[in-house]
Amino acid sequence: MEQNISENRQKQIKQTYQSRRKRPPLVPLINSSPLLRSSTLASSPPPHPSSSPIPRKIQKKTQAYLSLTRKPHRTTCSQCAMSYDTLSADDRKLHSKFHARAVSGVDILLPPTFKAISKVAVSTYTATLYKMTAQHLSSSRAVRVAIDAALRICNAELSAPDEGVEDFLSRASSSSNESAVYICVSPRSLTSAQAIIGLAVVDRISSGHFMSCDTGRLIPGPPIRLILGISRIYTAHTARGLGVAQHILNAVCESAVYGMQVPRNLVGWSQPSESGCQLAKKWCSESMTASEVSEDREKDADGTEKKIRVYIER
Amino acid sequence: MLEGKLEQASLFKKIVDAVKELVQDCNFDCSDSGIALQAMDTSHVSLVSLLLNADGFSEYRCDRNIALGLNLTSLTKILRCGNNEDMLTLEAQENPDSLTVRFENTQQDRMSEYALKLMDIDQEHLGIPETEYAATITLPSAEFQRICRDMSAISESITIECTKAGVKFSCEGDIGNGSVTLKPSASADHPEAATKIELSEPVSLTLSTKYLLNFCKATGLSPSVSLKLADENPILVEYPLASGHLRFYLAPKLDE
Repeated sequence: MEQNISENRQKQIKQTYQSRRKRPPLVPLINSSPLLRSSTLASSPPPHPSSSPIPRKIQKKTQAYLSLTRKPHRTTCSQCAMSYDTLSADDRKLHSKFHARAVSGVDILLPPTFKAISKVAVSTYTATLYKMTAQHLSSSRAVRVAIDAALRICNAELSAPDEGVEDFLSRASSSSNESAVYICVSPRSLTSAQAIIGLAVVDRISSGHFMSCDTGRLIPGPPIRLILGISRIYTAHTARGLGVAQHILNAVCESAVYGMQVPRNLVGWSQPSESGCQLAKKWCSESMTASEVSEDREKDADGTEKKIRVYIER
Repeated sequence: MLEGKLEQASLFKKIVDAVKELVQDCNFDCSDSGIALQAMDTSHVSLVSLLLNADGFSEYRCDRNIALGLNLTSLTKILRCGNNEDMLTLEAQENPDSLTVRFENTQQDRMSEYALKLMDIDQEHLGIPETEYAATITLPSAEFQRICRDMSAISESITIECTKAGVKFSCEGDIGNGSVTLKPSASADHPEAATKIELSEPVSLTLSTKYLLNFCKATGLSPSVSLKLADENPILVEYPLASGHLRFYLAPKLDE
């Protein structure tokens, strides 16, 4: 009997707290005032759910805002291309965070145990290039987080699938394609931390095809032999036009295969964008040695190739 | 050309201090009738409207309309260079690229002059619709500041309910709740200490404490403040000046 009463009491308490925890849904405002505009902006973030009981339900209200201007609230940033609502504090915060990362690069703190593969002169400073394998990414959480953020910005700019480090790691572990992420890092200064100003995701591949730069279509023919595939390549806005991408590609050829300098004509590209095609053409044409020149190359009047090597990413 | 002289720099200092909490950059519209300012905060939740009439200046001249685009943080830095009791002169040419701020002490043996670079601010003129307010409450500005300050410790919202019996400020937060009720009062000796209520119908508005606290930065400008309320309309918080006014509009918080 006593046990039943106790169980009922506990059930009652549980129900009471459940009903108190239930919050009204967020709904858009409907108001009659010409001065006010309906808003879905929450007045404040809901309190963090905690294990302690919420003493009393406070009726939630939504902040209205003044509707006195004809200017549109949505804007697109000319630099980072992000569209956001200028009236939303959350949107503005999100934009400023994304903008800083897209424009200046993602801050990274590299452990001293990570060895650089080369150093290159970029503008007025010396940038450092690192090769990040699945092993490196698994060993440092800070590096993993920074590269994940950089990869997501790269994907957003390239309109590529939103794959982060976890996807990269699972792909690297499921196959033996020896994928690696190459990063170019600016030096730390008094005013800024080290930042990833350039990034490339590189796969080991075996074959590919030629693609016409003019039409963007594959040129029919037998598959061609390739060793490396550039899955993504990206440079932060402030580091563009300084040769960062070419420095990364050079480093990829030098260090991707142990003991071997991979010829540039054995590097393929995965779904290159317009600027990616230009980079590929320019980089393949520059400093190409006689041994790398193949019979199937055709050139424009300015000496750049008309077609580039592409591969289909799995 | 614009030339406006104020007997005491403290008035302009207090105005800029009160406005800079809400707006960073804004245009001071100078005309022959005086200096006006109208700007919304970045979230478009509040609006500030200033009017300094020409007769509020000891000397005033403005030959043609000029919009002075100013960064208020920079203006504050310049204004800090003068004492509160100094005479303040604002001066700008016809197509100005800077605003000259001049301070003269009361003995007129020290004169300092600073030039503040102007900004091109693309600011739309905001037409504020006429509103019929259901209640107008006039109370000492220090009292209003105290209520806002006290309630800010408890909640991020204050509800102002006005009835015939009086005005009730209440708040409800995680730690508890609180309320302050003011009844209409009159004082012949100190009319600025009186609480007056003009009411056509009972009204209640819930407002952000953070913004109300920002408005209270204008407390030093006037001994009294008037709150004008209408249901589901922005509240008007007005600090009357000797010749002009400083008004704040704040959008309410509404039920979901």
